[in-house]
Amino acid sequence: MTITRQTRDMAGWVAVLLIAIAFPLAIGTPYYVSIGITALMFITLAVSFDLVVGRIGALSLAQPLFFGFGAYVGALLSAHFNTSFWLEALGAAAAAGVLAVAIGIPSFRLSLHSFAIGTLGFAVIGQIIAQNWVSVTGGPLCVTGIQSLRLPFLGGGLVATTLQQQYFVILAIAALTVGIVYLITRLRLNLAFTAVRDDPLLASARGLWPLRFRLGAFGLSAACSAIAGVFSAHFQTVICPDSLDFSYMTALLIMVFIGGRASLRGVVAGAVAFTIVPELLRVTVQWRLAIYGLILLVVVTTFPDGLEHLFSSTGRQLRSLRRQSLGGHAGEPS
Amino acid sequence: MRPESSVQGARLEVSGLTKAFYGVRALDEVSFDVAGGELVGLIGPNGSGKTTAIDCISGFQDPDAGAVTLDGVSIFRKPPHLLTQRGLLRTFQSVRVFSSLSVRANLRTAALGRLARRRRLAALVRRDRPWPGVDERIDELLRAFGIAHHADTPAGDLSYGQRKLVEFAAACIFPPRLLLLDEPVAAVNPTIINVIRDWIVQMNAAGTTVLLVEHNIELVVGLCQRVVVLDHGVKIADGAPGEVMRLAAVQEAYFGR
Repeated sequence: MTITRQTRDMAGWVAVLLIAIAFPLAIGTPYYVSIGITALMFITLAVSFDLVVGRIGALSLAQPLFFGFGAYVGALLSAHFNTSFWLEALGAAAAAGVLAVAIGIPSFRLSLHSFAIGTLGFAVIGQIIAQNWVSVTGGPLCVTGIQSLRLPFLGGGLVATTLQQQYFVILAIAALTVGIVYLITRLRLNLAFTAVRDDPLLASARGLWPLRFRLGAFGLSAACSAIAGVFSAHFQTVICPDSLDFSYMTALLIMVFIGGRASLRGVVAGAVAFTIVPELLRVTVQWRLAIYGLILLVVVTTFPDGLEHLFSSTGRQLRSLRRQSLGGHAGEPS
Repeated sequence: MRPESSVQGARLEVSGLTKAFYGVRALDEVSFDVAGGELVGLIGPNGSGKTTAIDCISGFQDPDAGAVTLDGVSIFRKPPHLLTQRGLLRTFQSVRVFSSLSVRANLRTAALGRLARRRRLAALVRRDRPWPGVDERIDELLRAFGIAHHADTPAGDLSYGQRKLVEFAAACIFPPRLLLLDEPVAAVNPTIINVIRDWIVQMNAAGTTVLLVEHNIELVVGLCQRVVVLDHGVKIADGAPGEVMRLAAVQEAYFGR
């Protein structure tokens, strides 16, 4: 029973990955491929955001900070030293992890709601630094001169210049992030995360130090977001202070909460849906935001537990239907 | 229904323990010892400072002054997770379980917390599958507590008494060296009270030192070799249950003048 369920899960993810690989090959229209790239960036960010919000239950509002930080690290390294993507990603991920620990140690001393405000404070500080540290970030003049994304490999390698090549780079980053979180949910580490989320006080009475697990999840989440940031530096070719803008945060909150906290497939579906929906609504420019808001309202009232609830109930119905039909033929449930 | 193995009970020494909340002294220079392997009751009327004492010993409150040692080593103001790893376990007055985890997962989590640092790291990065050596112990505990059929139920879906048993099993997943029980049978039905009483006796017989905070005087007098009585944060008596209950000061604290 458990094995079949895990195999089914795994098969589902492989199918999604195959569709994602086939997508730019089947549909070459640059507009659609770039929407695909945006969706994959949001998948990476939403899944790593959910590691903090869903898995350890800490509502962090500092997520744009780590994305923007990664974008600036990538942009500056590339513009000044024409570095390879490997180095930029590794450097940004490590630095973002350290930054997250430094922010996390004071912030996790705060209780639930104060934690949200505390992390928001750090996000605002990040914006101010990006705006005003002109000698490094260029301030409102932005970082320009970002080179093409280089992936040297054994003397050969790849320079991702076309939209399609860039799509596959971000697909790899998204797959890596989803893979890491999928792995964590299969480990006993997930027990510790859930324990810390459900009751941190009891977790410490059980010998598990909540701060250690919280910092681990927070740091890993920041590292994955920073790698997405490095990619976005090359994708946008110019990085401005608005990379740390709070509008990203709103989008991520919608994706994670409507997708279903602590549900990997829910969050991935949420990220895809809420990248595509605003694009679809471009046909009616005037009504776009109103309809978007209406869709949000309907989804929230219909599925308060998020898309995950829809998935699990549909799955249950399908299985019971199949059991019924099997029972009718064989007369014996398996 | 017996503990997996015997354990060397730890000696607890509390001296001059003081804790004030907004100027009110919840504990006023309280001193008492519990010898290794002893079963001692900590009693007193409501608001006498029993839970505060447990919280200060187990690291959930920072005492203002005094000393607390475990086998002669100071544990004063040490964080709870470090104390748990030294074998000091506690339960809570209001029952606490990880409500979204199954009963088995609750107990596996408890086992993770008791492992030494390196072994724990190795255990954390393994897949969450049957855990040889630990699952057998979990099954044994669940059978003993009569909740084996709930192994895969989310702990939050259980009744109050059953959650109490889960919490108790989690504290005893590996026999503790010192067990602090904060009203283990409060609001629990008589059948479960008997299960818990038997289990306390057996844990103690296997070597665990037990400090029992309880309002059920019958249970305390029946179980404990010695009782410590608190009233308004001050220790007013310390001795054999029969003698202590006859003392005028204790009578007065409980029933008034």
